[in-house]
Amino acid sequence: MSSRRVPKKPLPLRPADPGGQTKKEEPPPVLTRDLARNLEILKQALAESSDVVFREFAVGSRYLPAAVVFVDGLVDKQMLDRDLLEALMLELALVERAGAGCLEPEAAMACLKQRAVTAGEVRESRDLEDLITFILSGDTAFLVQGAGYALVVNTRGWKMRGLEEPVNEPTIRGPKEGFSETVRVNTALVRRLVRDPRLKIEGMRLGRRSRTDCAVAFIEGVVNPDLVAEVRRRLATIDIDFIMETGDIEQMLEDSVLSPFPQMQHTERPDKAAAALMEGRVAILVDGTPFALLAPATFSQFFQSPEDYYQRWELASFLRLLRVFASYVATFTPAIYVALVSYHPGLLPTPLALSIAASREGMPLPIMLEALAMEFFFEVFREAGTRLPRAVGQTVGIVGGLIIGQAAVMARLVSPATVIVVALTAMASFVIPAYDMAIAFRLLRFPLLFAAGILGLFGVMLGFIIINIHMVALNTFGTVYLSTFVPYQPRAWKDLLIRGPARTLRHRPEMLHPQDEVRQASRKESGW
Amino acid sequence: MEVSGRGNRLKTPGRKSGSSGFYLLAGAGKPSLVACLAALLLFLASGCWDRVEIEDRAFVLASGLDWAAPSPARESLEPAGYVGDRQYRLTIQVVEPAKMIGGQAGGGGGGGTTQEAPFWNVSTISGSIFAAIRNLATRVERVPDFSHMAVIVVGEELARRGMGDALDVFTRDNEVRRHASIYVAKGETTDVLKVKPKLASVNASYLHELFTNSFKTSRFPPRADMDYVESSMVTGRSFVLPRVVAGKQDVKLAGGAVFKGGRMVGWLGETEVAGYNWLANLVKGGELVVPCPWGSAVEVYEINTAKTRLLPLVEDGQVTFILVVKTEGTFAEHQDAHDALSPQYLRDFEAATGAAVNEHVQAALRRLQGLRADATGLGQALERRYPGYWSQVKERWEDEIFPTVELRVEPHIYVRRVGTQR
Repeated sequence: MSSRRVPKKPLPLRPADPGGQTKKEEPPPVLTRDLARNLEILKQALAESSDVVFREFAVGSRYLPAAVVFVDGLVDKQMLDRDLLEALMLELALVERAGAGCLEPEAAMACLKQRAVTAGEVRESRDLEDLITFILSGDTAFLVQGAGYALVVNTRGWKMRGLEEPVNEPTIRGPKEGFSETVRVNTALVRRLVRDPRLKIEGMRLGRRSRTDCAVAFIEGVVNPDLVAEVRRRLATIDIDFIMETGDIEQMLEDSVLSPFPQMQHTERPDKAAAALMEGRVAILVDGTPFALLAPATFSQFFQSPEDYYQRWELASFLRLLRVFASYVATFTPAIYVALVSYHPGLLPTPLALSIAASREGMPLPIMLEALAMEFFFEVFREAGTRLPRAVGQTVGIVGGLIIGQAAVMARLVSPATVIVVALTAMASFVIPAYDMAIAFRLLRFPLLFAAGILGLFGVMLGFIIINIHMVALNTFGTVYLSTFVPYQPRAWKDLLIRGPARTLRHRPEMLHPQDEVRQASRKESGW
Repeated sequence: MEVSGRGNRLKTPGRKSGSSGFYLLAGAGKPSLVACLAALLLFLASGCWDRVEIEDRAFVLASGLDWAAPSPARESLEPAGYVGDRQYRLTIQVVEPAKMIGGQAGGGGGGGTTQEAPFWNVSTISGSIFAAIRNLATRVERVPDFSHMAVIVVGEELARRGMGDALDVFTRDNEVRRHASIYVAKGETTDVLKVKPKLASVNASYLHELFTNSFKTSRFPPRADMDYVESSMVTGRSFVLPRVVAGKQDVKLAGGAVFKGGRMVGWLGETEVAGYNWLANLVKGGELVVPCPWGSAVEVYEINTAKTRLLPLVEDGQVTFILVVKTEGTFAEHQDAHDALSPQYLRDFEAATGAAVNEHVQAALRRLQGLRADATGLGQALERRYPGYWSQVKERWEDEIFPTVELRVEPHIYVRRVGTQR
């Protein structure tokens, strides 16, 4: 009972733990100069893993013992063969002939690194734990007798999904590339859109056991440094064995756990992520998921689509207003319908009141239960449609929506007006581009329905006020959730409910306190 | 409140009740779950007390109020235990929505070719309107809902005896819309309410919708709602309500009932109402039939816009009003052979139209003067222009001064269109 509240204070900060090391007291074991011993340690650590390959061989004319360790399936075999094995075993002779006897055991590693290994990305690693993590991430460890460290060669390359159009955020106009499951690819996609050298992509590992690669991206000089610090702080408080998806992180970073509203935005679209960075937000990318997290997210953001900026402003503004209106419809229509029909029919136009009364003649359920049941079954159909295989899902939709709905009306079990209201509400909730926000509205519908059924319009109003109080009080990463409605920042209204003409959008959102406020020169300055 | 104390509060026996309950909210700074649930219970406890499902309501679209002679024999079963010296007959017109939508929904075995009208008139007699409404509960199984009542018809007899007392419930109760229209029926209201309209489905909407024709003819005064009646009665002004006359198949909305001091004192005829509308600047449209200035045929002027202004003039104790009429319109019907485009002809036609307006206005004024009821606001115009004079004659205005008032019409008629023929 007492633990239902989130602790307001941050959890005691753990020392940053990028290697995901377990909490051992002794200093982390390091590599020795003895190859055999190193391999033994590695084999011990990676024992019973059939996918780890140890390949021992000799390099150079003096047959210096060496070995590569990699995980089968995570490495690009071609690259491994060409850039490492082939280079070391065959082409080294050429090098030796040219440079003559450089392969003294003491300096062998340095020499090999400089002249033999043809792979692009090469690192030295002395720490065993680190090394194992690298190996498990798809790098190849190259060890040579006599060197106290290993070369970590980036040979990462596994079977992955190609870049596809983002399924959940389709647009009519705009780039069709979506994020993929590999964090490196995703950061590359962002980097391709933002070539600013001050785009920083900080890497870190989260998850004690999963050791998931994460990246925190922001544009230095634009972003508010406090925001970055706060994101880092909150990320550092995550101490968990396993991170699967940005959703995991989102729930651990958000300010209010009880709020129905999403406080961070997720996107599959690199253009959206890049635009958010440009506004002064922070993006969190996680390996293994095509969703990037954008923080902080304010209420108005969920009514925007990247397309808003690609279309001309009249259309974009119309669509935004449409979404706002639709969100009200989605949230309040059933409640208002119930309130009007069972408490205040006097507020309905006479012909409408009469036709609803006529259609409800002899209905078995009171209107509130009827609406509640319809809403419930609609959610059932929707969920069934999402979970089932696509081919079956459509059938479910047709059977559920059309046949059952029609039959229920024909059998006079539910009134047609209720069916219309529920269907309208459902359609309206799908207009909102952000799925999580749409769900928030869909959830709020139920308490509002109850309030309407118990207290009539008074209850609806009460619910509306409570929702508003909650939203006004909500903060996300130090930004007021309802910015820029509250606090009122008139300059930002050009890009709030409407999307002003492109030339007028000269400033970054004030609510994020960006370091560089101006994003566009005025017409005069630009010499228009 | 201590955090440790929270978890087992429910289990702790012998805790002093009373204080702890309230401290749930105040103590820790955050309301506990119990307090929240308890607060939620408050909402449930009210138990939807106002909830009446829409299908359980009997929508009253029209009411009729008649004078019923106080005779105990009227209510058949028992001698009515009425108090006081008056009896009203209240008729409510309840819609039957199922019938209204047609056989679409339930229908129940078809067959009946002659469709029944989808409304039901129920009458009851009582000494109080409120009691009458409650009396109806013995005969109408659903809760009467007056929020959609658009029409109140008052019988002539009741109107003449004074309808203010009878309307009290309707103005007092918050369920009744203030903009329900009020009509005066020539004769009994039941004759009006029982007419089955041909186009509209319900009698009440038929009556109500007739008013949308007020821009087509000036034969009835504009819609009067309860606000208008109430404010007129409170200020003691005379006023005019539209008259409705029942036929067999239809009703006719024409003419008006003149009220003075809350009682009806007489009728205005159809053309007199037209004059009244001019006087009161209420003309929205309509037609003026004008004798042809150059011959014997009939011409018609259709009013498109009309505006009038009253200018009072007091000279040597004689009150004269100048009615400035400004109207633009169409040459709507031409039964003569003259060239309608001839400027001279049009000028003469405009003059003839002005004369027709004058005739209507004078007729209406004469009738109102005869009834000693200043229902057109002449007195208000006078008060605004001559406040000093008004304070002297205020008391005698309607009965002594008003009947002697003279009126000059100053017409400005402009024919703007002559149609597609000469």
